[in-house]
Amino acid sequence: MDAQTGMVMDLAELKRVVSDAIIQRFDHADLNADPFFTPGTIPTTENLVRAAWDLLLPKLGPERLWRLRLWEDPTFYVEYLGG
Amino acid sequence: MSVLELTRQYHFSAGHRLENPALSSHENERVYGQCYRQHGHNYRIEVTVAGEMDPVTGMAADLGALDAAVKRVILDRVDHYDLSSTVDALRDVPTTGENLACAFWKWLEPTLPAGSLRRLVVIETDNNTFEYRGAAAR
Repeated sequence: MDAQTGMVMDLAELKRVVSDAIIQRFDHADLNADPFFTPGTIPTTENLVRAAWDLLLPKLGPERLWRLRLWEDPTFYVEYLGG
Repeated sequence: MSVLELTRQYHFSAGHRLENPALSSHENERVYGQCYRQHGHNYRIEVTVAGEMDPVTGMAADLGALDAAVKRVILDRVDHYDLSSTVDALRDVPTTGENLACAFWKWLEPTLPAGSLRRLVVIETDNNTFEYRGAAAR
């Protein structure tokens, strides 16, 4: 908690970081053609959440990135806590 | 090692009423209120399983096997039944969300890889959610 702002993190910054690191890379893209998934790494939701983690970690740092949840559809999601 | 948690949502519809036969009618009405009357819910269930990434398949759990197990040991037993009178395995307990979550855990846990079941949630209505993480959880 930042005593002055009352915030743990600026959510506008988080939104910008996620957009730059993840959304712009994967939105409307062919995941199978992304360097993360070629060759031989299948773009399952499990692998995609780990790719998103690897992209976000250097931007947020391990002290701020705690959990990543990726929804594949309304009935299924995968969570990753690193490690 | 890379552990991932996968959560899948299912749904079923069922009728029930909350009643403990050890209590009098008056006491049941006091304890359970309007839930003492026969009524029904469109239930949702969330099941969370944990597994290590298989580098060959890119998967950490077999969702097909999970779907089949949930259907066989939970959904087929409760969907479109009256939980309070026609489900033998629930005969001895009031079918509160708490008891359903614990019962579903007991039914499902032995069918999954040992130690993989992490969380079972019964969502009775948009306002009432019952979450069980096994007897070992605090």
